[in-house]
Amino acid sequence: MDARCDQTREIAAELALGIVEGEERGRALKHLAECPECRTEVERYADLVDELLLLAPHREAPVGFESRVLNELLPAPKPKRRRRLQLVLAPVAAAAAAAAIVLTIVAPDLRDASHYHQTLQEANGKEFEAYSLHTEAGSLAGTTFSYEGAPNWLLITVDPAHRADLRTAELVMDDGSQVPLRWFHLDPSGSSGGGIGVDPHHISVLRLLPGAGDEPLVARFAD
Amino acid sequence: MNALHGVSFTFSASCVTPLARTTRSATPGIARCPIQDGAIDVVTDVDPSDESLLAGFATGDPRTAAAFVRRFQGRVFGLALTIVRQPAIAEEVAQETFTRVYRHAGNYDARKGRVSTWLLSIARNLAIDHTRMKRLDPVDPEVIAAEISIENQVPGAEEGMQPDERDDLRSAITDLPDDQRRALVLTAYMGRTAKEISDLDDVPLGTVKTRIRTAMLKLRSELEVAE
Repeated sequence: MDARCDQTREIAAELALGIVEGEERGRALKHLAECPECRTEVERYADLVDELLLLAPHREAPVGFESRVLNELLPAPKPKRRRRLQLVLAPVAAAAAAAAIVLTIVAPDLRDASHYHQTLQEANGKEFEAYSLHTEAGSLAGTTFSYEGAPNWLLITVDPAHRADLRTAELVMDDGSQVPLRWFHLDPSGSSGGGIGVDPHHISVLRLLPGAGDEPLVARFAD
Repeated sequence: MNALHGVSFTFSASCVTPLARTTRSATPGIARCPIQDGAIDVVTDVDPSDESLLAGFATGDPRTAAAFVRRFQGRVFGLALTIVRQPAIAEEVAQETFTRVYRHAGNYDARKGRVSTWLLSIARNLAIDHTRMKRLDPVDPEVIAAEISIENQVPGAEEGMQPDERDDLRSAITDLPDDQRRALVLTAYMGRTAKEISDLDDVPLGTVKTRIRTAMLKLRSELEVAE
């Protein structure tokens, strides 16, 4: 037990509740990665938080809820192809024409894909993605770009109409934890970018938070 | 474990769930059963584990997915409604929870907790997000405290603790001083930070932190005595 253990155990309950933020959270997580005793202490509180959530009353879900969930998530079954034989015996000339058309259409895409892979290779990266930023009402407000490489980074661009008073940015991870983006500050062109110490694949949501009275902007990475 | 209503599975000692073709990573360590025509509807009195249903849900197997949603929808919707208070928004939260689980089932780690608590943690965080983004009217924490203090679960819906242990935890919450119970509910169910509670109640930050820690310590002691 050292001073870092004392500091971490002092906030162990709050860590388990997920309400420690900023540098304090960062310091604690770093210590927990190195200290199994403190990790056990936080886990004991985390077990309690789990039990608290299980106390919430069970409520009958709305009629049709199950179907709506399954219809959204599961692909509709493909119709049976009863005329497979006829399709197999389709005229060779038609197939050749179709292939020519497809090649003409996809050739630029293939070149783009090849260039994309070369770019990532050059930059020692693995993946580059873009996601739309939306207002609460659903209108488009900008774009965020995520890059998986060494290091991982984000670039955020916000449309002029939505730039005013955006003060902080945070990531919400798949496990619900929040990661503040301390470097966030929009430059005059409406952009801000910086490194992120998390795997972009595990980001669920990017939130740009304004001062009181204005609406937040949100990019959903899972979409 | 919960009973499945209207769903039949084929089971054996090593095969716990019927799984369709795999397009996503499933939970490690779960045995897969080849599905044979005519063998699906053999009825058994063995309920599949939560982990088995999660794995089947993640692969997109329709029957397992239906069973998974059916098993957890009441708890997920109940927690969402407890936090957001509006049925339409609670349904939105619950639906988004299952979507999140479907897409990220590969991240579930059985060593870190039960499927139900993983699911409810996701539901809680989404409900708190919706509360903030939609600027919903703040709920009186005492209302939530009263709801969680009443034993109103459907039979078999609780797991992990024994029923009397859960009653002990409920009693311990009820027995907390009002200010500690309020701080506990504001953090655990409403996602408020100590600073936010300090501003909300016009109480020094240190006092709020002490209330949270004291409440958590009391409940943890209760939990560990029960165990």
